[in-house]
Amino acid sequence: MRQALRETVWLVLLSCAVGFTYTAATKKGLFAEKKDLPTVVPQMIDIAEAKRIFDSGEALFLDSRHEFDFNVGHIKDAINIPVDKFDQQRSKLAAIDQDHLIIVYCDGADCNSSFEMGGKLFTAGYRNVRIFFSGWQDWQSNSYPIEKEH
Amino acid sequence: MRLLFGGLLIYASYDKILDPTAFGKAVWNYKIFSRGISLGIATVLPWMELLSGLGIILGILFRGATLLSLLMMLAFTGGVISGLARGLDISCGCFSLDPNVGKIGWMKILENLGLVLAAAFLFFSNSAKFMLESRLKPTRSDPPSQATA
Repeated sequence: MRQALRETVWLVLLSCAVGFTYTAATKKGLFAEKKDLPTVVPQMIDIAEAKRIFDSGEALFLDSRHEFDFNVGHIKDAINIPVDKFDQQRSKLAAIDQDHLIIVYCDGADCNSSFEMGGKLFTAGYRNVRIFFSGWQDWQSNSYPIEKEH
Repeated sequence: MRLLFGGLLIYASYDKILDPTAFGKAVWNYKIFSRGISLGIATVLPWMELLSGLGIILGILFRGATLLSLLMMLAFTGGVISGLARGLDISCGCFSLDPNVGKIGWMKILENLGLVLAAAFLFFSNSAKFMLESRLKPTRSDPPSQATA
């Protein structure tokens, strides 16, 4: 048993060494290059403002999370463009006027993709963008209208 | 059995090594670890699977490789049970990083328990057949005959 434990420790240590070396060398995972946040940051809004805008029906809500998370649950009538698939899926905005108010959100305080999406929208010419920073977690905890995809 | 189980571990590690960010997301989806720790796990765990798989197939550090794979299978099974108990609708992240494939459920638990049994069987088996480490170990020479007084 002692030999087995010793060999296990060796394997774990070797895995750590190889794993960290590999991801550092290939700039993946922990060592992935952090995408620069856009220099132009759209205005942030809180949950009360997001709800007011939602009730007025004047805005398009854009969910920047992964498709899987969107399908699990999202703000009612929101559309989904994962931030890493903006270029492939920006056609979803084709019918939207560039002056149309867009509210971008992601998971919440632990998520920066809404900022990144805001920057991409700005670059693409959509200048009337707000970031609902507390996002899905806050919306859900307030029991505001949501949808799920089947 | 060794080829099958070791091959499975190597297969499971492949996508995870190529895309540790996606695997980190799969780990984070279990809502057990923070994003940083999930990424750390994603950095190391696939290599543990690969090295264990190679160790089992080639018979190098065999005891350690089987013990490590047993511990990993137990941890994976615990994670799946925990996720299911909390009502998470997530992908296991076991053999594929596609979030729509391999959702956790009772079948996944049974599958994992099968792998736990396989790992346990290999760990407790005493077979020394086709082990590289037994070929690499120096053979003991016959004890010298006792010197006569």
